[in-house]
Amino acid sequence: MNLQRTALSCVAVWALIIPIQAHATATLIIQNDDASGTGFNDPTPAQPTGGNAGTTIGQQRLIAFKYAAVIWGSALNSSVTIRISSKWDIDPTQLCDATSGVLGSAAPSYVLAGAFQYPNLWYPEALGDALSGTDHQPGNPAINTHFNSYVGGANCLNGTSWYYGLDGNVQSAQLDLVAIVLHEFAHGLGFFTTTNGQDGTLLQSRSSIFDHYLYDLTAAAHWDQMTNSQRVTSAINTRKLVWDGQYATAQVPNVPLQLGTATLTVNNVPPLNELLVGTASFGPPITTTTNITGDLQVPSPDNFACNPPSGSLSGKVALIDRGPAGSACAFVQKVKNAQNAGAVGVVMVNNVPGSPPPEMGGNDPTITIPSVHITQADGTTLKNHVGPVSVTLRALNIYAGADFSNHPLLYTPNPYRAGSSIPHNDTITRPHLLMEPDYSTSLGHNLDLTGYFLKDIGWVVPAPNPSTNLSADVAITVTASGFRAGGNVTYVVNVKNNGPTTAVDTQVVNTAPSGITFSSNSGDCSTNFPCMLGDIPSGSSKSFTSKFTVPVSYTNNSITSTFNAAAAIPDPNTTNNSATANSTLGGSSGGGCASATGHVGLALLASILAISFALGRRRARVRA
Amino acid sequence: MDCSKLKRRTPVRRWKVSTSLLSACCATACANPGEPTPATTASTQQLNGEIREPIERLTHRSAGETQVARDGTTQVVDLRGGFQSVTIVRRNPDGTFSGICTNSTDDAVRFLTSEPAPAVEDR
Repeated sequence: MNLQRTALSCVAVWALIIPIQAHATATLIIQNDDASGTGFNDPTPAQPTGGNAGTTIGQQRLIAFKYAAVIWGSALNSSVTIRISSKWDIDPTQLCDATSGVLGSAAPSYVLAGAFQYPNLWYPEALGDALSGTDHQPGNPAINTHFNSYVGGANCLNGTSWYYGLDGNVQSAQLDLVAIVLHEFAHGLGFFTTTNGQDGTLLQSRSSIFDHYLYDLTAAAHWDQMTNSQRVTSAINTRKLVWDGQYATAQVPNVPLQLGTATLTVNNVPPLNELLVGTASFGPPITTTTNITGDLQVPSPDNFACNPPSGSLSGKVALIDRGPAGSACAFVQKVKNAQNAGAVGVVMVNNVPGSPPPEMGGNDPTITIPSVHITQADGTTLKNHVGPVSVTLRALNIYAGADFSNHPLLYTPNPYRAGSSIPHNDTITRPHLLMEPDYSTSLGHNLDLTGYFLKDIGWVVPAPNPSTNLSADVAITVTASGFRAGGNVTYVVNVKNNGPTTAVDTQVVNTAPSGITFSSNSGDCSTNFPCMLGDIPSGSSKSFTSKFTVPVSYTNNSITSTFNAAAAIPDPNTTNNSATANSTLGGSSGGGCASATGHVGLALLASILAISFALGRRRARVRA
Repeated sequence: MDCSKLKRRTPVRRWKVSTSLLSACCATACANPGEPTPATTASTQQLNGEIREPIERLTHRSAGETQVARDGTTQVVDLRGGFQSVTIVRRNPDGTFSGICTNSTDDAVRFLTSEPAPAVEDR
C-alpha cells in the first residue's frame, strides 16, 4: 500500500511538471517497413559515429532517419502525426553499379483537395492533414520513401559509403544520409508538384499548391493559371521561372544568398541585353566590381583558339568556340592563348545546344582575364551580327539564385530535365541549398530556404531553421519499495526529457542486483531490460514499474539497484542519466523520488546500446 | 557509346546481353568512341529497358481515381507509390559526386547509363 502511494505520488509529481510545449511541433514517425535482418533491421555491428550512438548498421540508419524527422518536426507544426513509410528496398542489381546508383526517393502517398484555402489545388497529404487537423488516411503513411542499402557494397558505388553520423562531418567519399533524407522528406512534405512539366498536364484537372507560386517572368503568369503548352514552355524558360511566395522571397537576403550574378551584357544588340553565362573555375571571379568591356573578336585562323591567334586581340573580348568535339583542347588553354594575344576577356560559345551554359572547369593560376560561357544559340546570334558587338563582363547586383525582386529561381534547364527541373532550386544558387537537384557533400543539415517554401504553401512553420545540433538531456529518477525475503522489490522508474529536442530511441538498462531476479516491467515498458522507451518529446516523460523477485534465502538487509537511461542522440548533461535506489528490508527507500547519483560513462553507454541491439533487431516497426 | 557501362553492369545485373554482342560492341565501337554501331544501339536499348522498369515503379504517374474522404468534402487521390523524386549520384573520375533528383524515368535511365565524367567539364 505504501509502495502504491509512493509510486502514484511520484507519477503525479512528474505529471504536474511536464510542461506544455512552448513551441509547436510536428511529429514525424519513421515507419520501419523493412523485413527482418534488412535495412533498418540490419544487425551488422557498427561503431558509433558522428553523434549517432547506434551500434548496428540498422540502428544507425533508423537514428539518422529519426534525426532528420526531428529536424523537420522542430520546424513545422501539425497536430496530426506524419507517418513516413521507410524502406531500404532499392534493388541494387538493377539500379546501382560501380560508379552510379539510386540513393533514395520520396513522395507524398496521397494528395488532397477541396477543403483548403485553394480548393481547386492538390495539397500533399501531410499538409492537408495539418491544415485540417484531421488524418485523412488514418493508419496509412503520408509519405513514402525508399533507400539503397547496398551503397559501398560489391558493385554499388564502389569506394563510397553512407555516412550515418548526425554531425554533417561527411568525408569526400561518403554520402550524408541525414542530408539526403532531409531533402527527400521535403519532397514528401510539399516541395512537390503533381503537374507534369514535360507535357504540362495536370493530375485529374488540378494544379498543385506548389504550382500556385511558380511565376513565369516571360509569360507573367503562374503555373496554375497556364495552359498545358504554356507550362511546357515555362518549364524550360531557364532562370525565368521564379517562386513568388512571400516568405521564401523575404528570406533571400537573410539566408543569405551570395550577392552578385555573373552576366554578359551585350551593349549594342538590343534583343540580347543580358545573357545567361556559366562561370569559370580559373581566372579572376566575376563580382559586382568586375567591369570588363570590349568588342568581340573571333581569333583567327583558329576559332577554337587551341593554337595562338595569328593577330592581336589587344583590348578585345575573344569570342571562342568550345571544342572541337573529341579534342583535348582545354578551356584554360584557349583562354591562355587569348590572354597572350592581348584579350581583356573571353566569351566561350558552347558547342552543344541547351541552357544554361555549363560552368567551365580547369586550373591555371597564370590566367588573369575573366571568362564566361554562353549558349550555342546566343553565340550564333552574336557571330551573325553585322558590325562590331560591344560586350561587358560583369555581375548584376542580384542574389545568386534569385531574380531582381529576390524571388528564388526554380531549376528550369533546357532541354527539360523532368524532376530535376521544377521542384528544385536553381543550381546557380550560392551558397548551395537543400533543394537543389544535385547532391553536394557540403550541405550540412540546414533547412535554409526550404522551410519558407513550405510556409508559403500553407504550412505553419514556427521555426523555419531549427537548430541542427540536436541534443536531449535525458534524466532518470527511481523510487524503490521495501522488500522482504520471499517477496518482491518494486521500482518506479521515470525518464524525463529536459530537451531541447526529442530524445530519440531512449532506452533504460538495469542489471538485477546480486541475489534477486527480474520479474516484470509494466507501464511505458513491458519487456525485460533494456527497456525501449522510444522517442520522448522535449518536456515529456515516460515511466514504468519494474518488479524483481527476492528469494526466501536472501539474507542482506538492503538492495541497491542502478538504472541507466540514454537516448540515441547526444546528451548535453550525462550527470542525470543514472539513478540508484536503495531498498531496505521491511521498509522503503525513504520516500520521495531517488535522485540521480552518478553518470553514465562512455563504456556504460556503449554497453547499453550493445545490449539493446539484440532487442532492436526484433523490432519490426518503430511504432506499430 | 556505352560499352564500358555495359561491361561494368552486365555481370551484376544479370542483363541478357550476350557475350558475343558485348565483344563485338567493344571490339569495334569502343575503339572508335563517338561512332555508335547498330549493335551498340540495340544493347543500350536493352540496357535501358532493364533499368526502366524498377525506376518506373517509383516514378509512375498512374494515380488512383479521386475519392471523397470521410468528411464528405475533401477529395483524395492515392498516388500509388509513384510520383517519387529519385536521387541518383555518380562517382566521377576525380572522386567528386554528380547527382540528379528526378521524377522522370527517362532522365533516371539517361543518367544511370551515361559515362562517368568530371563534375565540371574542363574542355
